[in-house]
Amino acid sequence: MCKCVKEGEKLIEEITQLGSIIMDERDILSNIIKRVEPEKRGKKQHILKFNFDLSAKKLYIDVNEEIDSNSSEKYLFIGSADGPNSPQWYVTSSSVPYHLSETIQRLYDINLGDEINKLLSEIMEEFYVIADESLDKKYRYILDINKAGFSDKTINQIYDEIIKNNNGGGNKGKALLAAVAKEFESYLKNRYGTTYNDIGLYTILINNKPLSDLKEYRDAVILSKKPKSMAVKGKKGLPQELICSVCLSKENVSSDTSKMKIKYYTTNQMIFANQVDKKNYHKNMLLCENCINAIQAGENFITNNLDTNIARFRVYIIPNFVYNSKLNKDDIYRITKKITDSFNTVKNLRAIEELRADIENALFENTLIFEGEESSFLLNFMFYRTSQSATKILRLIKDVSPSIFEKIYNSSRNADNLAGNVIGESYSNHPSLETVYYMTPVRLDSGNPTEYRNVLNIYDALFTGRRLSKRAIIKNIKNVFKIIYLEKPGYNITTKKQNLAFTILDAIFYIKFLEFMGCLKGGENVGLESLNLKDDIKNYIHEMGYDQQQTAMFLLGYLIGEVGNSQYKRSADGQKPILNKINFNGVDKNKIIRLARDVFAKLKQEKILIYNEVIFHEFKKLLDSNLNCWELDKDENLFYILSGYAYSTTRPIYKEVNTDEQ
Amino acid sequence: MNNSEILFLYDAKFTNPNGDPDEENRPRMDYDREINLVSDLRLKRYIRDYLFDNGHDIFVRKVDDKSVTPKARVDELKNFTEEEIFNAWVDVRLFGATMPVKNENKSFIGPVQFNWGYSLNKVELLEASITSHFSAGEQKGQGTIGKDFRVKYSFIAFFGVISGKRAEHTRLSESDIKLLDEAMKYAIPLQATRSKIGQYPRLYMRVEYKDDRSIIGDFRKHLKLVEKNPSIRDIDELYIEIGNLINEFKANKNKIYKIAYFMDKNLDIRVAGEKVDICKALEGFNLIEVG
Repeated sequence: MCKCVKEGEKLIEEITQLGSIIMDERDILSNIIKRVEPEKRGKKQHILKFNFDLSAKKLYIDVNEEIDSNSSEKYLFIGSADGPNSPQWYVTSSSVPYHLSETIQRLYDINLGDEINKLLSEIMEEFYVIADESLDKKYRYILDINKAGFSDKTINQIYDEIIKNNNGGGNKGKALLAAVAKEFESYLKNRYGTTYNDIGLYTILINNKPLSDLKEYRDAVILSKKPKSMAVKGKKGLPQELICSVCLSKENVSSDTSKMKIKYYTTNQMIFANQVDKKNYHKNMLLCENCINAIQAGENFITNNLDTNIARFRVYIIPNFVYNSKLNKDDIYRITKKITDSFNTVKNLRAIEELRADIENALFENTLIFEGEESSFLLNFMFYRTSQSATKILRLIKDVSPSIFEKIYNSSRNADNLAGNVIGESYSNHPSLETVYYMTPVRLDSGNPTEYRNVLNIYDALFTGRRLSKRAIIKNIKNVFKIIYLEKPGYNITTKKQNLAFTILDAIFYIKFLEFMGCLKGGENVGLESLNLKDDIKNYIHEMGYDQQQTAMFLLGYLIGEVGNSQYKRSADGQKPILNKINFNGVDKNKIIRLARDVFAKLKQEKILIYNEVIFHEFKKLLDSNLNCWELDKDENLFYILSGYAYSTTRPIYKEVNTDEQ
Repeated sequence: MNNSEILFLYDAKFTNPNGDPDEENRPRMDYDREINLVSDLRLKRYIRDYLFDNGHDIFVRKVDDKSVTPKARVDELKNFTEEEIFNAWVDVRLFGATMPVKNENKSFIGPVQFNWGYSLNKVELLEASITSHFSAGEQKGQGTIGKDFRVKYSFIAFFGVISGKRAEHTRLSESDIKLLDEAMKYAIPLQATRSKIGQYPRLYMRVEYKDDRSIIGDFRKHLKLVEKNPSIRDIDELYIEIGNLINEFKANKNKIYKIAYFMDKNLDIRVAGEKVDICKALEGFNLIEVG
């Protein structure tokens, strides 16, 4: 069996375990209820009710009810039907189009009994029209917004317009539904002053009664969440006994994974199926009804409680309990809260630091300290992306000890203390999980990261304590500088040139953070005792653990910074032409020599050589003695040069603040 | 359409043949070998500008002196079809193009391709400071000081190919190739900007084969630049030994259909150290002088 299936299996096992602990034995439905946020972007969310009054033959719209923590349960919101392009018949939905088209007729097809079907067919007759018989069933019936008094245009007029303008290309039905939804929204705006952004749920009532209250409907929902049972014929044509891959049960076993929200492994490509035959997927994975229920409950619990993000990546944090016999539902909720609190604390320490009091609480109310529970569970970080209602796993980082949060916190604090020591107390940067994203250039496509592998690799190393290549990290950072300096659009990096020096500082301490995390090897000072430099520069070089070549580049950068400072003071618009002499693609050995010559000339031209002659001398000494055995590559040269530049550019700022404080 | 291979030699005296934006616009150099480099894009730009100035529309250009997106250029067409594209722009027929238009990317590999050019001699750079009468700010009394980078003397060689097979795809015509020959002769001297004045084409040869399969390979390795005195500064101080190249042509004589050429009268070419006339050296081949 291939690795992907194995990983998927492991995850299924863990989610089943989680689900079985929190599963509500009494009521299957409550395990699959999806939570809806009462507020979105600071706006209170409402429930929109389509109330079909059959005696008055009128459709009433009601948007008064606000969403609260009970709403999902009250109207039985369980998301949309599983799988792309499935018939949508759930009466409570988080988006409007289904109710404007297919919900009622799909309910009719489900057949909830004659009594209900009679009402449904009346509604279809009275309130819905068919624009075009040839349209896909999804779009065949459309709510007659003209008859209901929501629009001056008839459905036929709207449809003719679409035909005329050839909107929607091959999918006229989709275009029609979109146009009707737009008309309906403008009615809501004019009549109630709301838009779809204010609505969190849409539900259907018949004669003032919510359809979601009906027992027949609830039973149908439960049934729909059960996998299709299957019978497999064995070698001699006899029914084969099937065994659940998770719990070895033989009751109601099926290979139907369509009810799961997360795509654990490929289930639709021939190459993954046993014997390269799609019919054989049951040989990869079988689940019994109990386990499927547990998985659904587990998935639901995770999406409701353990769904978080790092920068632009969505992440589920899934605990895996080693000794779970003693755990009950309350334990799970307690631990979950700890996990998410801890994670959010270290995710972006800069934000937390602004609320200094919070972090004190976070620390001392043991959010970061799992007393004694360390050994009882591990964490899986699942980076995912949703596409068309399926959840695709981008990367699974398995079996991470919860102590990782403390390690991240401490490493960040150490990097920050170091920064305070060598740059100035008033400078703080708190490298954290988010920093990784902003120090690794990723192309964005409509705001979403596209080449995520590189970043996720670094997260993997951080969580599992793997070593990273310093050269690769520095290469990423170099690209960040290049994007800023050349103002290249389309990346996850803000291209403000004036921020360059500060971004470089952040990068220096991000590298230190990775060193403290044990992902990068630190450096050692060798043969730098005799350097004749100012104390603060010496202190910096010593604390950063630079070797001779790194020091040489740092000093060269420092001098560039000095020239830049002088140019900045002289020019009207704060330009630093000296930066044009640095090649942001990298500085190889020949370019160092040329740059050194240029910098010397500029120091003279700016009339500041007299203050920097000793530094230049020390730089030249280090350069000349190392030139024949130069080990840094062109990206590293650039990085250390820019480190020096950033140091001499920003140090006065933080130093000044310091003296002010004293 | 038959295959062709192209040799193009020109020299640059106290100019900047091709600046490197990463290096303060210094001439592109391979510093390890002290060789001056010129990108193929620079050469194509000369050709494009020449064609445009002579009334042929091109795809890769500014509109009203402003850079525009490829989409804006494409929008000028009635229909975004291959036929229209090739009809509209001679540079797409010659060099191909990448047209990143949302949901409709089109990319054509052009039949005419050049390698990067390099100097046949070692090149020294001249780095001079220049003063300006403009000051950096209103309060400043003195003018600013800028940097000016030039090569002292660089004798540059380009090699290119025309692929007969790809020419059919981009509908390159014989008259387009004639235009290309012409552009190679006249484009560079017409580029009278501060950094480009002082460059002259010295020799052009387009060897056309009898079919679309034959190639000989980079002609430049059969050439030798000989300096008449050390550290040359002018066309008079060197000669080009072409004996090996002529031998290479003779060895492949049955493949060669014709040779289109021009040569500057100041260029000294020799075979085995003996000064020769180009027509004499290429005797027996079907020669066409570019007018």
